[in-house]
Amino acid sequence: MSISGLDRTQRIAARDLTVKAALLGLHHAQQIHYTQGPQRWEGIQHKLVAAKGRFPFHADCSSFVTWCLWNGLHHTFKVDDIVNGTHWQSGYTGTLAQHGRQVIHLANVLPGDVVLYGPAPTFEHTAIVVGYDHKIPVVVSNGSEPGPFLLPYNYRGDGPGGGGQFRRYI
Amino acid sequence: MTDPVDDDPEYADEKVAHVDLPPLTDPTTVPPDETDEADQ
Repeated sequence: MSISGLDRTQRIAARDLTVKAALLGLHHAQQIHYTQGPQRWEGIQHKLVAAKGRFPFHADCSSFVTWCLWNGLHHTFKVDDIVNGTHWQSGYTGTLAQHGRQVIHLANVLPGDVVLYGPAPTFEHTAIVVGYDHKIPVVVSNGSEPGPFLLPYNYRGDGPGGGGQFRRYI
Repeated sequence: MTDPVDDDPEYADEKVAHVDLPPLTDPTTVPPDETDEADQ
């Protein structure tokens, strides 16, 4: 049984939807404002579906990652909130860290996996894997007002190998 | 679920379609990330 309960074909579709949501946000970075206020959950609260070209105008790192996974897991496949365990209503790096399963080896990282940065157990930042660049995972990270950015996963020193970790929810 | 997923046969040989990505941002140009906080 997979983490999400989805079969292989469904997981591939869920990863694709998750990645497309992240890239939609990336392409509209100037319209997405960074906030840690309650507006950061508008992507899920207002059911903004990336496949329809809709995205939140407000988000922080964890709400952006969660919105991407909501697109992949919940909107199409109605998967319960296995990402933060809050019925898709809230979350942060600490709840992300309490769910899913860790991916240890770089070679096993897949698009749709999540990177947690900073010290366990609650960590400090998160980003979502969207592909590879010369076999190095690439993430979309929304950690400040100019973001989201497309970056190598190790753009910070406190990611996997430096205290952080990869986690999988799909 | 805290056990690593690496050796889980469910995920063995899982292939994903290649995604064409735009150019990466130079990490040295990115402002420091805000520290994530739990909801109040």
